[in-house]
Amino acid sequence: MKRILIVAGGLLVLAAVLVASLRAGGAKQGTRVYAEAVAQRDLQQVVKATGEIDPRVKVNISAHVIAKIEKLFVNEGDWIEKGKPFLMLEQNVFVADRDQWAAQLRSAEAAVRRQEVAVADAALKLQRAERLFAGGSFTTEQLENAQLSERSARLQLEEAEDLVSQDRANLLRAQTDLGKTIIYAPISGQVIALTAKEGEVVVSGTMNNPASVIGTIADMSEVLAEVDVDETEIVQVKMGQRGVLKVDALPKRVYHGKVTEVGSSGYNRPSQPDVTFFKVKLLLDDSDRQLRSGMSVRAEIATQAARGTLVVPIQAVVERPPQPAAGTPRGGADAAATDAAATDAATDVKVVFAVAGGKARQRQVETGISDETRVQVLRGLAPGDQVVTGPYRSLRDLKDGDPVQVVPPGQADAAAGSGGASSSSSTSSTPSDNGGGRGDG
Amino acid sequence: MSAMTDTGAGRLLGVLAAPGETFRSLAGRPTWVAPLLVLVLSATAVGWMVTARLDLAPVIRHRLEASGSQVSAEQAERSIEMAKKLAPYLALFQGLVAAPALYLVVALLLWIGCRLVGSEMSYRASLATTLHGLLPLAVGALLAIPVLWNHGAMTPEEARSGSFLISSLAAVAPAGAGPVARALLGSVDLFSLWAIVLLIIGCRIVARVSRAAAVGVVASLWLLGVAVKVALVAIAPG
Repeated sequence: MKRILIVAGGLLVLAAVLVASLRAGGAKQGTRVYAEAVAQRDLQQVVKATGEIDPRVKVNISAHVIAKIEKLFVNEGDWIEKGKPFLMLEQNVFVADRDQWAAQLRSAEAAVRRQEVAVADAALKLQRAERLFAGGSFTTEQLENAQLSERSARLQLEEAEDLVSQDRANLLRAQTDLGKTIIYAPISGQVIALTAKEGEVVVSGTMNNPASVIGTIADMSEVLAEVDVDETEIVQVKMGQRGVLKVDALPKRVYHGKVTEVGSSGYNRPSQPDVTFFKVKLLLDDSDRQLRSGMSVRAEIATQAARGTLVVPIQAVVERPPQPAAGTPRGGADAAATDAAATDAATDVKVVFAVAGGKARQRQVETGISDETRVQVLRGLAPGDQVVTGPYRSLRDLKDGDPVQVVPPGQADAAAGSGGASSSSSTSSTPSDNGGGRGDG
Repeated sequence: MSAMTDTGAGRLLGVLAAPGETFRSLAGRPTWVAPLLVLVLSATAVGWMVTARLDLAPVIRHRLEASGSQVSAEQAERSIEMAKKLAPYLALFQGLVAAPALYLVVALLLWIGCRLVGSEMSYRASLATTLHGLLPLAVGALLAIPVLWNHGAMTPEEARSGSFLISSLAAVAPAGAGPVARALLGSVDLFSLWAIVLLIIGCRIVARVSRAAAVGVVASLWLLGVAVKVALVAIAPG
């Protein structure tokens, strides 16, 4: 008898637990939802992007001659003034080359002087031959020989003078090459890269050949943030828009800048081959010496802003087929056919579910700009209206007229534990409460 | 009643209605397959139903935002869809693998505890005692099934605390109570207390130890379990 009483009592307790849980589950009291009052706020639409810091002016240093590096005057990170020596190449070969051509030039100039004497001698001989020919002492043949000798001497003089010009040009080239063995800084700036070391042989080349770059000098007084903007957002980015920049390496510092270039051709990152990005450059207003080329940066570009506008949480706006206009007769096969036709014909519209009298009421809205969490409502709601903001699963299945039970965000389990009736009247309406609650979720 | 407590299936009900006789029968011939099946199937069913009602989207969005990674709305949606696809498999894993493993560990700890207080109970007997002693949890799971059936969408914290079934002190927790407090209150649960009583009876009869020793061993195990649960809640992200 005692055991029967114990078992019966246990069964009663279990039944009580079941009944209380079913009642608190809210199935009969409507879908449990979060709600938030429509508020007026300032809203700023931003485009987020990541990238890296890069100086606006950056010069790659390359050699114009092939030689071994004898002396590097800078280290990576050093500041260098324009016109100061950057590096010196080994000069022996170039000095010898210059001296050789200088000697050859002197020799050629001596040859010219020698030939000038020969020309003068030939001219004298020609004058004498002309006098003797006039006196009948010289034959025509002898006169012609004198004339040919004088002409030949002049041609040899011209040839010697050409050789002098040639040697002078070679000397100039050798001197120029010698001058190229010392490379000077073309701009004032920071040495942000130094790829060669003393003793290594540099190759001459163009900027297109990365192997020929010895180092890079950057003018860090004008710094750019080069960021990759997703293709879905690039149309919002315009020249001159302001941006806030955070450099990962300098977490306590916030920089500001404006868009100076918007890329017009997309590209893919190797890590995200299915996403197309566009390059956007922002010129920093407040760059400093802490910034270094290549630092990772996150940019938030303000694309649009609205002051004191009606906003709702972004997840509150869902898409549904438009509702039939008021006054449309309902009921019967005709109404069903009309609804089906309307659903087929019309595309989904943006709606929110407003809470009124314990029921969800579908309201079509026109939305404007949005930030990460909120969207501007241009039409369809009034300040103070309660709109359903979640949970996602409930919102997804919600229909116009469904009974709802509002639960404060972040306290869903408490509400469930204490029973739906006690929590149905508590509705979070302050913006701060809602923001915090959603974050918890 | 003795005829009922001699069969594996009969012991399932016997341990709830007449625990003394059932544990005496288990001491002579330990069986464990039937209670293991009941516990695993009930835990899997409840886990599956909870997963089906779980609202994962806000949690994943919050974690993506908190991580600071730059993801588009489409990428976030893909992550949510992926999580939704994986969640049922996770529920199956928890029910079919993690739960049985936990029962084996509890049985091992009970066996160690009883051996420490002088018992010569075998591990097989400890496993049988543990699984039969934990059967009230299956009763709780069976009650949770109709509750979940009628339940709408569920938040992760609601699923974590198990407060959809009003059987613990979590049901009377103040509105501002934090997750750790809720976990502590949720540990004082009707079905857990029932299981503790059964384990004490089972331990005393099967392991042949004094009542005080049985209470000490089982209470230590329960406190250890509560500490682990609270610690997991405390370090859980978001």
